[in-house]
Amino acid sequence: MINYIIRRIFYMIPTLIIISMISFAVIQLPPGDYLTTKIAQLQAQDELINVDLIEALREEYGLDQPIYVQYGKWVWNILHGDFGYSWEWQRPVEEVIGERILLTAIISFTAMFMIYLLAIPVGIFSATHKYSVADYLITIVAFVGLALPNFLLALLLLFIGYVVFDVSLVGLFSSEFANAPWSVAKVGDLLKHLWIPVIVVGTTSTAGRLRVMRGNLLDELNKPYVMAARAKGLSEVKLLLKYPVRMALNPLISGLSILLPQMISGATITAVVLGLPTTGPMLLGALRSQDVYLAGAFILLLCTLTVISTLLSDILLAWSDPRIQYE
Amino acid sequence: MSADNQILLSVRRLKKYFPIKKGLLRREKGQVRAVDDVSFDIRRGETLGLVGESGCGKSTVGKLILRALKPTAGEIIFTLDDRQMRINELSDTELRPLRRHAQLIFQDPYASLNPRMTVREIIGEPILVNRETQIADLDARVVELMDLVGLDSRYLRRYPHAFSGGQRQRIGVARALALNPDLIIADEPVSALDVSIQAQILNLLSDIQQELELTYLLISHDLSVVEYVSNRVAVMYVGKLVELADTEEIFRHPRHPYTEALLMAVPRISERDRPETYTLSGNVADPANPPSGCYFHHRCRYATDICSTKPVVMKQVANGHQVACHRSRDLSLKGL
Amino acid sequence: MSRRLGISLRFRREKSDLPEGESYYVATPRQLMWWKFRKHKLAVVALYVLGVMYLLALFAEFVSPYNPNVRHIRHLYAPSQKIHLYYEGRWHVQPAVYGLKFEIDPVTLREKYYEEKDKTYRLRLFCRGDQYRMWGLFESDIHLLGVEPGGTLFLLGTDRMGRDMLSRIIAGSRISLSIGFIGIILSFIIGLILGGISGYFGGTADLLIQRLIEVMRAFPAIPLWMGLSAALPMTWSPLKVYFAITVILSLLGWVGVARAIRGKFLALREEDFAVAAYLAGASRWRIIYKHLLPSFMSHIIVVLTLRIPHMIMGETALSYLGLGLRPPITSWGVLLKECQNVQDMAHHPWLLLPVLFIILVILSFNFVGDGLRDAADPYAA
Repeated sequence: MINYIIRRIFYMIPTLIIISMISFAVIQLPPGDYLTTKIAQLQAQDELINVDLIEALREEYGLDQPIYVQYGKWVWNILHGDFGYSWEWQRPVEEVIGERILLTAIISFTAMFMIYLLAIPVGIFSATHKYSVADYLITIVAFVGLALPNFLLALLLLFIGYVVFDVSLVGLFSSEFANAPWSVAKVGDLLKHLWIPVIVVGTTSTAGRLRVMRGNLLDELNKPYVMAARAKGLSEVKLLLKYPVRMALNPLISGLSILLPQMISGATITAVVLGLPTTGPMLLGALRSQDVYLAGAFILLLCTLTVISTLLSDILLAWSDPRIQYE
Repeated sequence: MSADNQILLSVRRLKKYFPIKKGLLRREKGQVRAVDDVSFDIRRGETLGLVGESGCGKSTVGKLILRALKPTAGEIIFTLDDRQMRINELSDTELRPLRRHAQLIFQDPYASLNPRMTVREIIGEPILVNRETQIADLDARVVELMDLVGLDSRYLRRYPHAFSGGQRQRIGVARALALNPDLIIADEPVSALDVSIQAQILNLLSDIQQELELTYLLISHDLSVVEYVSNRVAVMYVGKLVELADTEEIFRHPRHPYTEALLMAVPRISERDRPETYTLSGNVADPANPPSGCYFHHRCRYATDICSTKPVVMKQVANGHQVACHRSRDLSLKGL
Repeated sequence: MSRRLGISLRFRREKSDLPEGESYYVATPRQLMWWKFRKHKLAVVALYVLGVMYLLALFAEFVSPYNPNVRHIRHLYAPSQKIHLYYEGRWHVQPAVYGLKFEIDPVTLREKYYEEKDKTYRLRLFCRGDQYRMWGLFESDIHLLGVEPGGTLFLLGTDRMGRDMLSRIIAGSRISLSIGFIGIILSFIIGLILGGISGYFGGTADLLIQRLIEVMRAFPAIPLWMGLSAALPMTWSPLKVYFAITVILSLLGWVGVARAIRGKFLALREEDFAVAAYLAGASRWRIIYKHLLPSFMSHIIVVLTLRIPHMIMGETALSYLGLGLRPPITSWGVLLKECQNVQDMAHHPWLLLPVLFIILVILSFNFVGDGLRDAADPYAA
């Protein structure tokens, strides 16, 4: 087991290197760089340019040097906690993004929690009541849920909220808390607003997992050991929970690791539609204005977050299912 | 059978070890000795039965001879009229001529036929890929083969899903015969079939053997099947041969306690035919971690001290009768 | 139960549904699959829906009533017009629409439209209208559906610039549906090569490709797509952007395909019939294309079918964010870009109509995929 964990951590290193390269590519791909664009703009407006500052920045990030030197500097700085400078916000990147990454993680993890909380019992119900009216209703809702991309669901919820209930579902905090420092009241306010993005982000995956749970359980229930247990007179509930449900859960647990990338991905675009103070809108803005270090840091951190949680869920899986070989 | 006693296939000290990899750096931590130092000859025109429990390595022997697997060590020499092929040394491209001379009949008549090909394509494939016949004559050749194995040639364009298990096995036999091979390795050819069908397929195999002067290596766990068609029988246990003799001899006078135990397990119509029965206890030795001395000693009811310490080798004990047992000379074992 | 409800999502296989005798015995794999697929009624319906959608996309210029880019300046934000059979005081066979009258509400300062009941315009088939160039090949001005001169036919309303929504949705379907298709073909090619190498040859190549797949799976799609498509130069031509976006979408799309192909290769390589072909002397290449490919193609088609919706969603999302396709290209995502604030949506709900089309298409692909999955292995008991 220890061996397994060590090897998995070992495997993470190349993954992280590739992620950093792709993130850096995102930084580098746009033609020109932010400074050149900015200088041109400022000159056009006849504004005073702090030449020293710009030169210092140019020097620090090696903008005149070959690409691999820039990459090296970038990675080196990140390893020392320096994610670069956000031109747009005129502040170091790490100061700008901390809270937003945290909020993204909160939404994603809450959504994951909701997915399993809903999908497992509903899936079990659907399987044990196969071809009943309720099962058909669940199936139809699940299929529609599967067909609804996050941001369209967000759009529709916004629309319905506004037209039918006359409420605005935009944002993650009430206006009085938006810029307030963290407090118990602010957390409470967050919880009040959290459910909308969580529903938006989680619906598709809930529908998917529900179908998987139902299908697996049905397969499991058709196996001879279930009949044997029933023949021995085991009560239905005990029979169900003792083995078939456990077996059917396995693919769901192993699916945990690819769920988080999906959640973070969904949360990003949902946040744009719902105007949430998370990574989405800021990443979009950074990409639009070529605020490259900010955008690069976002992509790097979001990807790293998913890699680490993939590792955690794999370890969890190995720990929960003794049949998984650590090899 | 032809009496010239010419040796067709000669297997010498054949070994196949599968590595076990473990740990952080996936270093080789051990080996599974699937086939461990096996030697035997097959004479032209005979049927050699290879028996043993499942997992003893008998199927691996078959795959090694056809080079579906590459041997770890040892020699496999195939003697044709004019030349010898050292199968163990051939490269992938050099193997192709071997395909004309040695073919395999599979155990599972369902998995071994591609469900997406018609009977014509299945039986014709070996001919086609070896460019044995003009494409125009392919149909005629396939029909000929179907007649030979007792399939209605009107079924030429049917898919395997149209056939029963026995019929499918006939298709498999026809495919094996397509290139006019000298040697056919039949790996449990009837164990997946209903008992009533088994005899039909076995009779088919011996009929075509006469007609086409074929040589068989019949791999089976079922002694009654082996008894029915084999001229000689080789018994395998945990990767090693333990006994080899004529069928009559080995069934009447087994010299190895393991063979005796296997014979005890053969069902007979009347218990009066059987002087005494006993069943083997314990588990088959682990080929990754075999016991010292004779691999069979911990299950053997005749075992003495020497059996657990000194390794055994095959020795000739009578004309054409080889056995690997320390006590073969002082035991008198019971046959059928 | 299912019959009573009128819906049947999944049918159990019944032997009696299969044709008897020789036609069954000589049935090709494709026929068997079709027989099995047919039993999934919803999948069959979905297949027809997709067929119609793709036909609409193919003949977009002809089936849409207007040129999607023509602005009807006098009809900004017009709501959808109703088709009437009862007009001029009696029932008619030929449907017609009323004229649209436009007014600014003095209180809200919003535009308001009324039907002018005294002006009726009959609908016409194969009607002359806006000029178009079909597939860039020949000029025409014949539209499947049109209206008498002087009238307007905005069945799904118009947008901010007075462009006909129906025509725009049909025009958008050409881009949105084809991007899914081309993207999946690209993903398939990459996935087949990498998954095939990985599965058939194994060894170091397998190890490397496996690692790569693991890395790619860990990427959150949208942020990566956003980053890459934001890097596309604004100066690129629409066609170039279209292909670039397709490539970007395929960059993650191949992963699932490669995994599926590798898994199938590994399983099938050991199948007896593949070993039999090898022992018959068949070359490695023949084993791959004659035995392995046909056996797993159906399974791969299932995976591909179920991935197309992801591609369509990806394009829609990127275009909605303004990072994907841009006007003058019309795609469903570009159309939805009009729905940036909730007031606009509330007052002009027809702007949200592309959502229905997207859902319909994704739902159909999911159902077809579901039906194909049931039919993928026609030999399973």
